[in-house]
Amino acid sequence: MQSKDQKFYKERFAKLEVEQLEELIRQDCLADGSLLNTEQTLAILEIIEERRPSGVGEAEIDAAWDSFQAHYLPLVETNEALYDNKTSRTKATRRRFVLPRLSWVAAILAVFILSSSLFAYQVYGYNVWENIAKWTSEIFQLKTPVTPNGDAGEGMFPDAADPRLQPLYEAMKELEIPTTLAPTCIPERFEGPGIIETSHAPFKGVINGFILEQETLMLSFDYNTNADSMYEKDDSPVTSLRINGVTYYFMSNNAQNRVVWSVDQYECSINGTVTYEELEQMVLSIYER
Amino acid sequence: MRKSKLYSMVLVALLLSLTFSPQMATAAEIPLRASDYIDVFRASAQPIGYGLVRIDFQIAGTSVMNQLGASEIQIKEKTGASWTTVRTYRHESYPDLMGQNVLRHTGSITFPGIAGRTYVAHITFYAANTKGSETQVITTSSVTAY
Repeated sequence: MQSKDQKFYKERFAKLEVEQLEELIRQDCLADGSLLNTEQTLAILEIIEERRPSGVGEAEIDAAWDSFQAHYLPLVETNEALYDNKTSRTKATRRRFVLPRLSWVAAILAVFILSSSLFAYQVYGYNVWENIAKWTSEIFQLKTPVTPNGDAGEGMFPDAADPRLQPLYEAMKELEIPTTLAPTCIPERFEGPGIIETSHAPFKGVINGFILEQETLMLSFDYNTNADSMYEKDDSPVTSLRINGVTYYFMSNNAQNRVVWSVDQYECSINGTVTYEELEQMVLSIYER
Repeated sequence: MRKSKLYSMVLVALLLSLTFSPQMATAAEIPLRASDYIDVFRASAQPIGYGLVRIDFQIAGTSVMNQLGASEIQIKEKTGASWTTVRTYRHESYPDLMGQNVLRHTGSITFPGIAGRTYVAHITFYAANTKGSETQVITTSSVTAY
């Protein structure tokens, strides 16, 4: 309900154009709110909304107000600034003036190096376009596109043949991750049932860990997200194995070996104090049902 | 004369690239830095409306870790050509950033930013057990709050 003053101001400000009213608001902001009082401000905003409707509905206004109360107002109540007082500036990028001739050469050089790298990859048997994975000597990164979560059909959730893996299979079923992705057996020395940890959106998945005194085996199955996974690795080369259209990447991280693969919208990995041969056996067991 | 000089430079570049292509095909040589404590980590930043930016992360250890998570998250705002740290979240003040005795830890923070401004999150991951600890740093892709 409008106050008497607000009605009075509205009649006065109604003579101004919208641009003039917006300029008044802007000047008031720059003057830290000292130009206009509350009634004047509300009157101006009402006139602007009547002449140029924002199209924002009541529900959205309520949601924005709730968000403000939850995330911004507590800062005011605790006398906290939106930004920390001490800010540190990282090094600014410098602009360099490069002679046009040198930049031409640099561009051409870069194109030739890139194309020759791709050629070399093909020569060595890596199909770079097929497997969108990249690595350096210390990080392996699996980049996969996010696809909609479609319904998994029947037959995608067989039970575990190995009782040690049953808790993992149960957790995968609850998260609607096909158990056909998981191995059917693991090395005998890892006694069950192991540790099960599940997580939900945005990083929905399960990890199953078998922890012995000196040995570890972990199996993880996750939904892909827009966050790329960074796997720590040592400088041993990454090798790959292709089975049924799926590429399995083998690598080592100091005392542990790991295999990583991606199928549809799922990212999977097995790592631990296991040999490459044991990892390969677990991978092959996926197809033995 | 100028054109022939450019052509000869291009030819040199071509010969150089063919000479070094086997090396180009292998991994770039970067100092050894594997981890006895961290297996894999991931993080993302996403604007969620009303000026808010949500930072999500997950880290898995190489085994059960006594402490596993993010020790610090710095929010940086783009100012011109540089990035300025505008807010820092430390696990001492935000205990949910760190998990105890877990294989994997997932966490998030919602940063109250300003619509129209661009932010990144600089996350320091931390993993520790009785034998020692290790950190790893990652920066998310930049996002613009709306």
